Amino acid sequence: MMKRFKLFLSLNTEEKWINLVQETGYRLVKVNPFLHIYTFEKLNSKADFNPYTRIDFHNENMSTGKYLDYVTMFSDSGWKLVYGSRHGGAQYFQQKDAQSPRDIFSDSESKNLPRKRFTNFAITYAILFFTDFFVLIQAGYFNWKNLFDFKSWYLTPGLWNMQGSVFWRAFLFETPFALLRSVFFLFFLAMGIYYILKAIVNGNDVRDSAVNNK
Amino acid sequence: MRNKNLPLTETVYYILLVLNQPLHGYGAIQEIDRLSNGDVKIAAGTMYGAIENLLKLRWIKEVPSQDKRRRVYQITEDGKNILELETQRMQQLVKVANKFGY
Repeated sequence: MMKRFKLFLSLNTEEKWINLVQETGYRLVKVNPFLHIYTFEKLNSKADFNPYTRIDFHNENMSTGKYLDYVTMFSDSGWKLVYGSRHGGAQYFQQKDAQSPRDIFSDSESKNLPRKRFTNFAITYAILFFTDFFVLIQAGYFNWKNLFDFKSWYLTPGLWNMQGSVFWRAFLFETPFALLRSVFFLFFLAMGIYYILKAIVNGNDVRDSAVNNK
Repeated sequence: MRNKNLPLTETVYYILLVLNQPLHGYGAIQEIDRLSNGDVKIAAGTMYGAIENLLKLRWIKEVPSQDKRRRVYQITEDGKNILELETQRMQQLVKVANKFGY
């Protein structure tokens, strides 16, 4: 077993990387999309089938029945689901054997659809995080000067002069708000930038492939 | 004036044709492979997207299935009309080509 942590800005680069790792004698066996950890298993021998893994992407929920039908059609066509969820996101399919087709899409137009959905998804999340970010700024909750001044995150008057349980109660009560003003502020900013980069890089892939097909 | 949905792609034309009988997605893939003598191999993701789109256009509909894991589809009257129009368009095209000696 080999575990790898990696972030990607586009579905194309993610798919290419997975297949490059697999070419060196591995098979993708697990994906944790929240921690971005990919688990690979070493192939037993050189003669072992070396599969391709392909990514589909959904930005909408599917009913249980619909998702079952979707996965079954891929399975019938020679593709095993490595990881996926009916609630959307990336769906990782792997060739079952040498008879499986090389791709889950047979024309460039349909191959582009999940990439377009991924761009839209990234734009939505970028807007969401930037909105949170600007709301915090507008509300006057944040000041760059105070970023590393832990005590300044707390606004309760006289907090640092309180004693014992009175202090702890006030301190713990305000902590979530203090974090919101400091750490989360930066988190929202970082996530906003991360998703806007995804939208740009992945969007470029979609545009490039449209140009190449003309 | 010509219907704005024309011309159809080869994939869509074949799917509508084979769905004159009720089939599930993979059944349609196999039937199209057979009818085209292996020339048209539709991959799973492409078939799934095409079915979703045809359902939205109401050119095909879902029909009851014995198998819980596989949904079954069949062409609708709208689908048959569009297939008719597209076939006429292609016949016209072939007629013109014939005049040029092809």
